[in-house]
Amino acid sequence: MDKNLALAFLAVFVAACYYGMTRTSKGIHIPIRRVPGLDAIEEAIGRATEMGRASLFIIPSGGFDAQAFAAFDILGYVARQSAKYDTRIIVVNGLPEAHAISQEVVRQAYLAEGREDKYDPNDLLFLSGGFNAGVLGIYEREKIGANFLFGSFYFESLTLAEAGSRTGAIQVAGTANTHQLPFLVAACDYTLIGEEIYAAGTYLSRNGAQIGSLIAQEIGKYVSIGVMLIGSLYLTMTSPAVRSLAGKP
Amino acid sequence: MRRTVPLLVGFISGAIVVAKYFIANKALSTWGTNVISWRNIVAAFALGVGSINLIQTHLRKMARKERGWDASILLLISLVGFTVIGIAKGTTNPIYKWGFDYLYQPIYSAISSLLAFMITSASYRAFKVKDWQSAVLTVTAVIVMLGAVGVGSLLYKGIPRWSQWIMDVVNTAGMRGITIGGALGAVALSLRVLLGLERGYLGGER
Amino acid sequence: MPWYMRIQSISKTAIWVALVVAFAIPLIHPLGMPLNITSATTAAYNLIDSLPAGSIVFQSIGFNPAVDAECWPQMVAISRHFMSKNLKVIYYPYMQEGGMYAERIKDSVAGDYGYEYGKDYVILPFKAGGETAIAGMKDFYTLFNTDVSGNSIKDMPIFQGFRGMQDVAAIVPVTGSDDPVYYVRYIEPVYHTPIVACGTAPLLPVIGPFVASKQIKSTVIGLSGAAEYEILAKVPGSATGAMDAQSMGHMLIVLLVALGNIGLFFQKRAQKAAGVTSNG
Repeated sequence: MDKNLALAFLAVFVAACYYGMTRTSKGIHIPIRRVPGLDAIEEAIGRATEMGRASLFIIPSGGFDAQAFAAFDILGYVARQSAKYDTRIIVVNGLPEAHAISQEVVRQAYLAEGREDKYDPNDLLFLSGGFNAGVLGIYEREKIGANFLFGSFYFESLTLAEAGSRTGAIQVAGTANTHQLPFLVAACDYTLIGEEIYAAGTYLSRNGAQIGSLIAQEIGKYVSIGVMLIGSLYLTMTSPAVRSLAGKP
Repeated sequence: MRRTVPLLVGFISGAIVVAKYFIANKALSTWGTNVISWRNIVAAFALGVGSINLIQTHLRKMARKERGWDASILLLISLVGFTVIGIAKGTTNPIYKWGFDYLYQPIYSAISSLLAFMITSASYRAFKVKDWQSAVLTVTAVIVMLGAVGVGSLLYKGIPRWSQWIMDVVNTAGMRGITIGGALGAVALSLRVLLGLERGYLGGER
Repeated sequence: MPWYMRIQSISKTAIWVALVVAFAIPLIHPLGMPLNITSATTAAYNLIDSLPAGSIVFQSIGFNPAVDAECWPQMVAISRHFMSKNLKVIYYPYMQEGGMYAERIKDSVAGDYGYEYGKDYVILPFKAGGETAIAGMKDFYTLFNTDVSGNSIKDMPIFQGFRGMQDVAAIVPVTGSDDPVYYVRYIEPVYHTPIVACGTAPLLPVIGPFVASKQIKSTVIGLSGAAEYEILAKVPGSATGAMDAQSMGHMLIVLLVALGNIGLFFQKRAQKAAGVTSNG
């Protein structure tokens, strides 16, 4: 039963994606609300450039999941901005798979901006078990003007964000790990919450087909809200308290 | 071609794993299990590449006597030492266990314990009552903090109950919403990756 | 600088020194602060306690040294409870370091109850993949054919008659990670195995919806949960002694928050009195 429901929901979701992509391909403009965190990325890199400092991009060791892919999208954008402004970017990865991919993402970003000569693979670091200590060391040694933390964070989120705030860097963070969101919100200037990190690639690229999937997300949310309301009403109406009020056994 | 083949491989692999979940078919189940196993093999190779990068970075640091190069010596000795002992003797070996119990675990715990200090200074800075929303946030946080330890019941016996109510009702409702939104976002992103619409991990659009 | 500005700008060094002092006092001189036994921990204890002797429990170890201050006391208390009830235990390292903690149980706890490796408990090897490994547990013997040392598990007495996860009486993840959610996704719907989720305090908001929907039967959360379990199971450990220090730490944070807000209140009053428009 659970699998059938999941399959039905997936089918609805795919249909909604197709519907969204069809609408956007017809040139219909779909407004997307502002995400201050993503808008702040360019400002953060600009500020780092003015101060003559580097940007630091952190992809944690939490897990190679959808959040890591979302982080790559944002990394590509940050790397392109850094290449454009000729700002040094240091990328720290906690996962070996992410390290291999981020090397390619950053290299392609520099290539796209015609600044391949400025790409320095020594600025892309893989820190495994000593991730926390390694990043804290980078904060001390390098002068960081902008700090970006995106991905699947666990306990290290507050340590990195709070220590990052001491450097005076502008901090933009994002995670879908609900247990770390309060820490990042408290310590960072801008935080992307949950689904905002997954929409980042679409938001930054404004690709029509991708925006179609955002429409599917919205439809999915309305379906979830509808199901929750129906379920809540049903449980309330059939609860012993309400039934006794209605004089039913 | 350079992009098409990886996208096609990604689509087929993802489709097999998704189909395995929904369709009860022995052949599909076997293929799906194999694809998942290949993922682990690729991850293991990626770990090797990452380790090589780590060794290169620290050897370069030592060669140039950059700041902190002496720590790089310790890192390389422990990296090689643990790897050799773990592979040769296994992780149940007394030497490996000693290294874990008396080196790795205390050092890792010590670094992680910085969280207690960070959270104290972050709370002092963040919980300022400037409007009604921040007042609700601050009062809620104080109740939950006191309710989590015995001192809350010393101050007022209802605090643990209030704390439990906040976690069971208010917090759960909020987390449900964020979790559902996040899950939908993950499905949307995964669909985009499978269909080749999301190419950020390949280096973006050309 | 006026006093109400001073108390809003206490330096981080002073705060951190105060925290060290707050932790040190109860460790040197225990204060004996009360501990509430929550209904959640009591439910977890009762669930384990109700299992008949010889039942197989699956303990997933999903923590590393970063969070072992909370999780290790939980694991010790719960393992002691398992062994005092003659339950068979399968330890599965969800994280790489998990196997080392299971080895510690083997070295320091199992012997106290006369437990024999391979007959009463076993340690499975770590499987990379996290969620995908848990998803693969439905084909138990495809995923696992040896223990952590490479010995075939088919010959081990504990696995005689064991068909797979359907024969597990309870799943008890002790974790700082998301693995309870994965057991809810992949194992609970198929086999309806009760799950007792144990872990760090930040885990509670994550699993809260699943506890409310009874997909996770009960929880043991944080160091306080470990201390409560030690009291319920009558297995004194390190958690109970550390609770005083945690209480002092929490009180210090509440005091600092109060000081900061008192300072802000008087600052706004002074600004109003001086006719300055405050932007907050």
